Parts: sequence; C-alpha cells; structure tokens
Amino acid sequence: MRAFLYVFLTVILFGCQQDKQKTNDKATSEASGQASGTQGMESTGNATNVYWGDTHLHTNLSLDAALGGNTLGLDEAYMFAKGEQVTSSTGLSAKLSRPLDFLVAADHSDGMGLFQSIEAGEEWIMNTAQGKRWNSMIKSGEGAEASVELIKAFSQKTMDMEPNDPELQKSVWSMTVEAAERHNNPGTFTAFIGYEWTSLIDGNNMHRVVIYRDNKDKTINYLPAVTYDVQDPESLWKHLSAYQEQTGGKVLAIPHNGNLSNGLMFAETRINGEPLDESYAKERSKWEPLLEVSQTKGDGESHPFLSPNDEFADFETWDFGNLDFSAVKTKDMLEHEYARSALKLGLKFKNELGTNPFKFGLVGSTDSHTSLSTADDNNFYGKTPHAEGGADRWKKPFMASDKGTIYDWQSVASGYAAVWARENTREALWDAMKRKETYATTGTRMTVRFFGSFDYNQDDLDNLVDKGYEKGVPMGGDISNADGKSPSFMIHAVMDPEGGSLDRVQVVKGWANADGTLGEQVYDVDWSGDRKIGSNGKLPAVPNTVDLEDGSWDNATGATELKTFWTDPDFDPAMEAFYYVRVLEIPTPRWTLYDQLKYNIKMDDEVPLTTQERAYTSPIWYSPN
Amino acid sequence: MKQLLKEPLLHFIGLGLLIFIVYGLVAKDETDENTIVFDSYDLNSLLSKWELQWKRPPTEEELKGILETNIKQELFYQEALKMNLDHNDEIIKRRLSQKMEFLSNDLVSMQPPTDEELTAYYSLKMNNYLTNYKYTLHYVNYSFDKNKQPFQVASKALSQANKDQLASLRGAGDPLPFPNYFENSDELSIRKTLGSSFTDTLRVIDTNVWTGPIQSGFGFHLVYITDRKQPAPIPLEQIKERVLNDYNYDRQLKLDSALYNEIKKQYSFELDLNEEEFDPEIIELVESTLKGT
Repeated sequence: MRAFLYVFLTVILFGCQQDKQKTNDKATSEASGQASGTQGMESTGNATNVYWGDTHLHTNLSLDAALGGNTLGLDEAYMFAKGEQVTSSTGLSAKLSRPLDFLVAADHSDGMGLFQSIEAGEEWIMNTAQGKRWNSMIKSGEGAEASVELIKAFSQKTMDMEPNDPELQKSVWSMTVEAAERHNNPGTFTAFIGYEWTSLIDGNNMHRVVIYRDNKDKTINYLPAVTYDVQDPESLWKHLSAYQEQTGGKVLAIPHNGNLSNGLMFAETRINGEPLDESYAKERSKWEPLLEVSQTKGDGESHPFLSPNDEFADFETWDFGNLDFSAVKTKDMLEHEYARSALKLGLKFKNELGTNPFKFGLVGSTDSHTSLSTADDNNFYGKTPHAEGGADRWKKPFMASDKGTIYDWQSVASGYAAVWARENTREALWDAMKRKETYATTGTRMTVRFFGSFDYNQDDLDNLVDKGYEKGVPMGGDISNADGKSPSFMIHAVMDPEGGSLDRVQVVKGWANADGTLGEQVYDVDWSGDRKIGSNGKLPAVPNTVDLEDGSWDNATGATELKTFWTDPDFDPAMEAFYYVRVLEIPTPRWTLYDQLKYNIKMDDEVPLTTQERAYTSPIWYSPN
Repeated sequence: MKQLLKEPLLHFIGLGLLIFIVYGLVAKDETDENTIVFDSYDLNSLLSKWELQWKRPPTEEELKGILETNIKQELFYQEALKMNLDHNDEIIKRRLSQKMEFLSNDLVSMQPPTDEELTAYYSLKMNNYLTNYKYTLHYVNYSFDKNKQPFQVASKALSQANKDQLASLRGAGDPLPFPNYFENSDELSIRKTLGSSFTDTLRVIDTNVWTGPIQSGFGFHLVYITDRKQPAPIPLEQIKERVLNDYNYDRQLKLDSALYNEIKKQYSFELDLNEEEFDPEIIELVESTLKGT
C-alpha cells in the first residue's frame, strides 16, 4: 500500500516537464509589479460610477453556515458574485442576473474552521460533551439543529471548548486572504479581505463586518479579532487601531442588525456601564463610518413605534427579540436599534460631547450563509442552505425558542451596497466607504445621486453632477455656514432597468432641539404621475398593480426617473440636523409570491406577497459650527 | 521563496515529507515501543501555541499543566493504538480520510501546470474565456413617463422613418438620463444601463437598419446597430492568472477523485448481501458503485 502511494504521488509530481517554469515566473513578477503600482494610490476626483456589491457574505468557513449544510467555499462564492453559474449546497443551479462589482467574504472570526474540526471529530472536540453531541448530530443529518445549539451556546458563553484554536485560525485566515487575492481583479472585480467580528452580549447582536483596504502583504500575518473572551466593541477598535499602527494599513468596521441587539447597538452607555464620553464618540465615528441598514434578517431604517407618522416605516420589521431569541423586545429598546433614531441620538451627543458618535452612512448587504449573494426577489436563494429553495421553505422555522418562532418567510431578499467611486479597486471603493459616499438598497439596483449645499439653484439641476460636487457635497458629506440661507438639495433617482419603476423620492430630516428633545420629518419631494398631496399632508399611495396570478406588474404607474431640487422649508440654522434620501419603487412581487407561483402552493394569509423595494442614501449633516 | 518552491529538489524533499507523514499515519514505531522522544521541536511547538493564544509565555505552573495534558494524551494514544482501539472508529476514519484529501490539495499548489497543460485547458474551456458582445449603436426612447402608449408611438415613428438612414430617427423620442448611443461598448455595460431583455434582443436583430420596438424598464426603443462584434477568444496571455485559478480549482477536484479511483483499484470488494432482505435493484446499485470507477 505504501509503495503504491509512493509511486502514485511520484507520477503526479514528476509526470510533467520541468522546463516550463520560466513563463510562470514571468507571470508572477508581472502580476506583482501591477499590484505594487496600484497599492497606496489615493483615488482623487469626483465619483463617476456606482458599483454594486455585498459587504457581508458567509461561506462554509463560517461555523454556523457549515453546520447548516453550506458546502460551498470561497472560490464558489467569488465565482457566483462574478456572474458565473454554480451549484448550490442543496444541488440547485444558481446564477445572478447581473454580476456584482465587489464582494466581502465576511466569515465569522470566531470558530473559523471549527466546523471542519467538529465534523472531523478531532480529539479536542470529542473530549467535550457538546462537541461529541454536535459531531453525532452532523453525522445523522441534523447539522441545522446543531448550528442553532452552537450559536446559542456561543452567545450564552456556555461552550465546553475553546472556539478559537490559534493554529486553526491561522490556517483558515490564510485561506481567506489567498482566495481574496486570487479573485481580486482591479478594474473589473474587487475582492476585499475581511471578516465578521461576531460579538454577542447575552444574545444581543453587536456584530461588525471588518473590511481592509489592503492586500495580502499587510493582512496575512494579522489574525482577525475574536470575541469569545471580549465582546466590547471598544476592544475591536483597539485591535483595528493596532493593525493600522503596526502595518500602516487601513481598516473599517460596519455594524449590522441593531434590530437584534435589544437596545444595545446604539445604547447611551458604554458596555462597561459608563456614560458615553468624547473619546468614545471619536473612536466610534472613526472606525465605524457605515451601518448595514438592510439585510435578510430585517430592515433597520425606521420602526413604526418610533416614527408613527411615517406610513413606510414598517418595512420588513424584525422586532421580536435579540439574535438568539433568548430575550423578547420591549418598546424602550427600539430607539437604540434603528438607523434613523440612532442618527438623531448622534445629534444629541454632538451637542453634549462635541463629537457625534453615531455619524454613519448607509449600505445594504445580504448576510447570506449560502455562499450565494442573492438579493433579487425573483432569484432568491435564502438566508441559509435549508431555505435555498423548495415548496416548503417558507414555512420552515428560522429560529425557535421558548419566546416564540421566526419563520423563513419572514427573511428578506435584501440587500446590496451601492458605492460611488471612480474605479473598481480595493482602494477606490474603500475610500468611498470611508467618506460615506454610499447608499443602501433592499436588492434593487436603482441609481441615486444626492447633493447638498447652501449655494445651489434650480438651474444647477441641468448639470447636476458637476455642479453638485463643485458647489456642495455628495451623500455622506457635511455642510455648515448657513449665512442666512436655507440648505438646498439636488436629487436624481433612476430606476433599475430590471426592477419596478419609481413611486416617490423623500427627504428624511432629523434634528436636535435646543431643549435636548429630538425631531424628525419625512418630506415627499418628487413622485410619479399627477398625484397631489392631500389635506393630511400625505401623498396618496401609488396603486399596487401586482397580478397575484402571474407575478406581473405595470411599470407605467411609476416613473422611470425622478430628478428634483428641494430647499428645506423649516430650516433653523441654530440646530444640528441631518438629511437623507429614501426612494421607493412601486409595489412588485416579494420572493414569497415568486415561490407561490413556481411551486404552485398557497401560503398563509399572514405572509406578505408584494413589497416596495427602496434605497436609503447616506445622510448629509448640517452643523451650526 | 517562490523560486524555491519551484525547485525540483524541493519537490522531492516535499514528497519525502509527505510520504513520511503518510507513513506516520499508517504505521507505528515498532522499535522503541515504550520510549517517547520529547525534543526541542515538541517543546517549542507547545510554547508557541500557548503564546499565540495568550500573547505571553506560560508561567511555570501553566507549563507544567500543558505538559501533563500533552503527555497524558500521547501515552493514552500509544496505549490505545496497541489495544487496536483505532480500528473501526468512525471519527478516526473521517479524520484520516480528510488528511488524504488535504494531500491532494497540497499537491495542486506544489506543481504548477506547464504551458502546454495550461494552453490545452484554455482551449478546452474556451467558452469561458470569450469577450462579451460589443456594440456601436444608436437608440431612441419612447418612455413610459411621457407616453400613455409608448409601444404604439414607437411603432408609428418606425413606420414613418427611412429605416436604412441612421439620421432619420437619431435624436428622436424622449430623453434618458444617459447618452442615446453606445460606442464600441461591452454588452455588460449596456445591460447595466438598460437591462437584460434589451441586450438579449440586440444579439439577434439586423444591423444597419432601425429596428424595434424593443422594451426596457424605461420604455420602448428603436435601435440602429452600426457594429456588432461577436464574442471572441481572449488571448491566454491576457488572462493567464484567471485561467490558472480555474485550472487549479478543476485540478483539485480531479486529483481528489483520481486518487480515490486509483486507490479503489487496489482493493477488491466482496459482496455478502442477503438477497431476501434487499430489493435486487438495491443490490445491483451497491455492486455497481463498489466495483465501478
């Protein structure tokens, strides 16, 4: 047997000629020469293109994904994002209708590669009662159940084993970095190096996705931060800061799912119980320039309890409890979970501390655990492998505890990150994220421009991009020096050519009153057709034209593009304020309707079958000083 | 380092190392059954593992602890081997079989393909390495926003125009937020702008004549294509890295199954299935799976 192996391996290794190495050497040196040419290059000038991507995708290197049955690795994840056809973990063939421009394979740093150890039944795993149990569950086909148990044990800190074996971590991190290097193709497709820092405090979601601007040379020897011992985001910021100091690289973090944090994501105290101070505010706004506001586990822009006058605030709301559903949600938590209320709290802290801790722009992403970044309702492969497809997927429980059950029909085919930049490279896209020139969508690829200034006039609309940059700031920027004027804004939204047409453009304003209270207002600023604002101050809803029998709809009820110039009619130069844009599409089929038609089934009445896709831009902030 | 990795001698050493590892897995040391060698390498690896995790050296007490744990593990392991406790253990089987898979993975990265191999692979998979369609075209838009019946308006405009003349309709219709022509543009960029159904139609319509109406999300369009370039092979030199990645990915899958099939050939299977207990189809399936390659 050994003799045979020797022969076999020898044949494989030496069966080929040796003299062909030169060409490979040349290719290698050319490639590295190219890389050093773009490295460290600052992207300058105005952003000309919008690039679409997902900052948050899990492959089978993520413990819970692998336990849930994901068999697709990094290569498949990148191939799929680039538009190639792949076969999903459950055997379905999958392909995006349009490729993405960039991807962050953000596998959990905690327990990276642990699944492979549990599955293999390594000794240190099998020495624990839990490890033994999960191993036998996986073997008997109950990987999904094992996954749920594991997340609970991790979040409640009741793991029998050390989830972050350093040697394991090192080898898995190098796989992550190498795969990103292989698939990164400056100018065509950006594969960022990154991971997810999966902090849970008593089951409350404090997760952040970490994204590097840098290539392999800086990142390969710097292991990701893990959270099993320390869950305080301040420890993550220290880790990121040390990375920058030691390597000269650049890195940022993007929190997500405040809606599963039970009030912790934007709390008014630090994790150690102390009140927020200026140093905290500076650190947070430095490391966390963006928020992932929409994804498969619910939309986090606004909540109907917080914004009772906003008839669109209740969109794909997940307000049942925390991440592992170990505690239910109470109303007092909501203010500290949603983007709009957090942006408002940020203004309050700006007044109190001098720095705004919650000064973030917006992106959407999927958080899919299937290695397939899908956010199109007509091409949705679910949040987890067990919900990739099939007539029954809608009614499977996604998460169940003694507090209740969340079903898969509640998961959302959302979202994507839109980034304004000049070129598709790690450097240019990362810089745009850092300056918040981004917007979130719930999966649609509509194009949205948003500029603010005290100096625009109506005529500038004809040359919106040039004048926008020349006389003002794009989304994510700051304006001040009112000088007796009111701020005006230029907005241009163009529909996704493969999606629904546009219902309306809204400006959402938040401000801090002198007495410390906070205010918000949603303005309808442009819309399709000849609808008139009613006596209640509201624009009537656009008709829902979705045909539930065949999934068609009528784009003629919406507009293909909306372009407008708007001046704040209620401006008070003494108050801190922010403005962001929300664009709504007309109603189109939700993924549940496509399933209903595809599998010829009838879902329960409580399952929504249509949806209004939308975009949220990063805010523009006004400050009196 | 890259250069070193390409040295045949190093391959040979690497091969020896692999064999040694495999040997270590499948055989036990038969000479000194009751002697455990504990050398500097062993101690260093214990220490560095600790330091990697805790960012400091262990205290004396901690070192004693990890030593005891590791020695206990090693001794129990040796005794268990003597007692044949590893036989038919599902977990050990999985682990060792997984290590065999890792072997084939390592082999792929150790031996890059020759030029001939890469070229052959590239030719075989040519369909993956084509340029997109490219177009130079003008189009006009009859938008859903400006027209109640854009299809009828577009049809009428087409019927009244001199279809062979680009100038006859150029600039007509309703404005769009982007240019009304594409010059030597990749199909993907047109698809991003006007959607898939529009570009699907572009592939099949006549050139040098106004054609339509073609629908997109924005309305109905009339199109005049002056140049359509069919997908053509991208020269290997331009995409060598991509082809190499694909090659390695495929090779890894193939090597794994080749290894499996080769090993399978070294074994014979004897079937002992009770014909009363199982359907004949099932027995046939088992037989063909075990004996086929």
